[in-house]
Amino acid sequence: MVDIYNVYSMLKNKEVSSKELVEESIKKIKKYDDRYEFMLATNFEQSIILAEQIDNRRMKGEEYGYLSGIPYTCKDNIMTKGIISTCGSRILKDFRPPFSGTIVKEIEKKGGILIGKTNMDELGAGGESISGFRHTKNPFNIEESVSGSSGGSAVTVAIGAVTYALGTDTGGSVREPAEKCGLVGLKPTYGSISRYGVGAYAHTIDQVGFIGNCVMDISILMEELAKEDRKDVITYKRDYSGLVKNLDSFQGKIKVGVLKELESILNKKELKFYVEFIERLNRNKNFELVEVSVPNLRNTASCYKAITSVEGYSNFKKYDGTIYSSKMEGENYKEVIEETQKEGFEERVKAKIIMGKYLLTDENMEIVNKAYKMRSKIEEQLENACKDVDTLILPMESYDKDIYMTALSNLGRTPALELPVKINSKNVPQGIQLVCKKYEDVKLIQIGKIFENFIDFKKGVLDE
Amino acid sequence: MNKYELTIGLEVHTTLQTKSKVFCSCKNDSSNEVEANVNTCEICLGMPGALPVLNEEVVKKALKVGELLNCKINKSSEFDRKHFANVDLVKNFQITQFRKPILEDGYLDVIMSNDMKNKKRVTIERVHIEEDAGKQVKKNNKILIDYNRSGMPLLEIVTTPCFKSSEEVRKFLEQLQMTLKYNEISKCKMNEGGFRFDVNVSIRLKGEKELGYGLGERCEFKNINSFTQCEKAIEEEYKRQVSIKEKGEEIKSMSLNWNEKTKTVEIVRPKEKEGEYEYLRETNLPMLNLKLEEISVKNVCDIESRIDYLMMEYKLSYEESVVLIKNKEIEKYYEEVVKGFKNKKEVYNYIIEEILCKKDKHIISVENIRELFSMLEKGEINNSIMKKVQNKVELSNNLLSSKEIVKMEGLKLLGKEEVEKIVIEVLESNEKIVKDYKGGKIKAIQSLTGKVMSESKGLADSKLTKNLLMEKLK
Repeated sequence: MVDIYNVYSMLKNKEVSSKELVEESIKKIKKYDDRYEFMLATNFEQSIILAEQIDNRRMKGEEYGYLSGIPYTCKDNIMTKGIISTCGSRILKDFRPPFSGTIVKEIEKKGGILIGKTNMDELGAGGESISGFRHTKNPFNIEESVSGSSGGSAVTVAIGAVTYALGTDTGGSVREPAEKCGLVGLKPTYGSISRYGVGAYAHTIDQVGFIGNCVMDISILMEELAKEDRKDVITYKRDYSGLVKNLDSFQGKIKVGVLKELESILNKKELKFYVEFIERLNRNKNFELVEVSVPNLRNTASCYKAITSVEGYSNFKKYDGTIYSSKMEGENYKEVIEETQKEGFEERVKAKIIMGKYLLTDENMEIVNKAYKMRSKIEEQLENACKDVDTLILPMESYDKDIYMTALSNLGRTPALELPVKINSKNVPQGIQLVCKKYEDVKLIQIGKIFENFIDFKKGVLDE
Repeated sequence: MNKYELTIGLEVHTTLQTKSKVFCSCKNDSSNEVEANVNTCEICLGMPGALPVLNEEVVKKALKVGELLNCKINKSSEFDRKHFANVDLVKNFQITQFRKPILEDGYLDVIMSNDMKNKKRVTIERVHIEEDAGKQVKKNNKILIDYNRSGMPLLEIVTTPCFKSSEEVRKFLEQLQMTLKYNEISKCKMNEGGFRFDVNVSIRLKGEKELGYGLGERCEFKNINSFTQCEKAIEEEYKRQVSIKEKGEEIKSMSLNWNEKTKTVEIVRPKEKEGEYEYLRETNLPMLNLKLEEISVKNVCDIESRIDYLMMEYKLSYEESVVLIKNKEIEKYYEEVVKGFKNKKEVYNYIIEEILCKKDKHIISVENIRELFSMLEKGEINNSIMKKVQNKVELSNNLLSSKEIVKMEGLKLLGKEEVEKIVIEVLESNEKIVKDYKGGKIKAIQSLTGKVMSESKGLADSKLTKNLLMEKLK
């Protein structure tokens, strides 16, 4: 399967049917799932039924939008009515939510076909795509990490089972696995897409994002799906209509901001390709490099850690087995909760909960307050850094424990777009990210399109 | 024993009377008649991904309370997560307003005596919006939880430690309850936990205040839902604290339970400090910013001036006024019925005796009962006929008017001449009884009265009959 626009055209011209697409999708998932371990729940039977219905209606001449009749996959922390949604945790292993997340409902309304739910780091906390059930592998080199947490989603696109997938991004969870799979990943501005029905990790920075094959597909997804939702009060109203049509309308030289604070790390061998890429830009007359600054860049990692621990604790602790998840036996509530969580959570989530609880005590509250203040500071600095340029260009990783490169735009609530650049010696793709000011998702995507053309990335070969 | 001074502070939780719950659209109803867990959804069950949206009606009701309790209204307030583990708490935290409540610094003047002259100003520290937890139901050694109550809107009203006696507490709670009910802010159903209070009790030696000492260590009763129990609990706790002090020991801050069966204070555990609740801003709800026009909601009625009005306007006593206030529908009914009648008290008494008890059934319409009162005033009917007609009007669902029934059934009292005619007839045909009477058997007049009444089919006024008989028998 290629990209959304092509599939859409083929469906429109009746060169292919939805049912055929779904069948191909199922075939590919079955072929690779044992090797790469990327699926959790599947929705195969329903998908075929739905595809047939859509095909029938299409035969009768009904007009459909970009997403109609096209299969997609969804990260397991986005609730899907009647389909087990575990958020990658054994503590929710039997949970069939009675409702769907707003984003899933939106896609359903547009005729999108949900093939299944994808593997992820437990409750979104992690970057390896290791759930309480499976460990997703990098399909280009199964010895290498696919990163995470939306690794399962990225793999379904990489193997061609679907054209696009939903992920969530709290500190890079959409962009990182998209990079490792040679795909395009977008984390839009905080609040541009409803979080309703998305199992929370750190709710002040969690954001739904998209993984696709190209910038064009990302533009289709934004135009179709980003909207205000009265069920998530932090969402805002914005008009994305015409985004696809105007994808190529950015004119003139692009002012590209480079962070001054990165100087100290650019001598690292892992960042050689990033330095080379900057130099390539510098040689091209269509780009103008400008030095900008986020003075507190070195605080991103600690700030992120404090916020995600505290919010993770607040959001995870409720999984105690009383209502909708599986419960262990115990003499009293305290025992039930202890046994259930001991059994249901993996070590990483337990560590988050312990850290969060520790930080929320009276003595440590000052640390939490400081972290939130630092977050506001970083948000302001990033906004300033973006102010005088069209976009920032950042590496995906810093290889420095204090700088959390992808989390910068989560803390700053800005949109960030990951683009693949090259394939490294281990056959694993490497990418860069572009960042624009808050609410400038449209501009980011338009600039992303120019970068995509400039990079001209060639897809790698799967490790079969 | 009176060398100690008692101080009490209250935290009152009251369920707001709104259509839906505080953060979701589920019906706000957890009454015992409703099947368990019917009024629930992903939001009030705290399912993954569910997000809260603030119910505007809750804010409106809170603002009314602000008006009634003379509070400062915070134009912008915010919500916090208060973390604690409880089996009935679905999210592991309760959404409340810790850092910035919607209302602060208010007071209520509590009427302490029936002549309204003695009042006690109770100062309110803060009032904030929060959500309720599920309800635990014990059954066969198991704890079952009814989540109908989870997410119901609560207002927490926190007083300063300004009470000096259990009586002050009781009067305040009664007046507060009346105020909330009268203004349709809360139904205050005490048996369902719709009006419950945490009671903080401390003592200190008299004179300590003057020496600049603070209040003593306080102990807290949680979730009391009866005025009598509250009063009793305070008194017993006072005794307990005094006996500790008398032994020369220190009072430790404790959570208490009132055992209604044994009428004793039970110690539950050492009291939590605020820091143990792990407060975190609830950013899934934005700042609650009020617009000016929202803040200026008047349309409330304070109980004090309402009682004043009823006493002045209708010459009712304090207690009679309170009866009306506690029965707002009857109050409205009374005010409509009484218009234009001279004997306001007679109308009040009749309505309290004959209408109030029928609260839920069909009652006689204002128009029909006014007809009856006006006939009564003119002497066309008496009290017993009135009750009879009322009954028939109610049976007809007010399809027949009082006038029609009086006319159809010939229920008008007889005029003096008609009664006189019957009296003469009765005297003539009962010579023996007349003789007995004249012979000194005074009681015989009752028998004669009875005969006139039955002859007139109850339409002769008994007083008039008696007078006429006496006159003729002279």
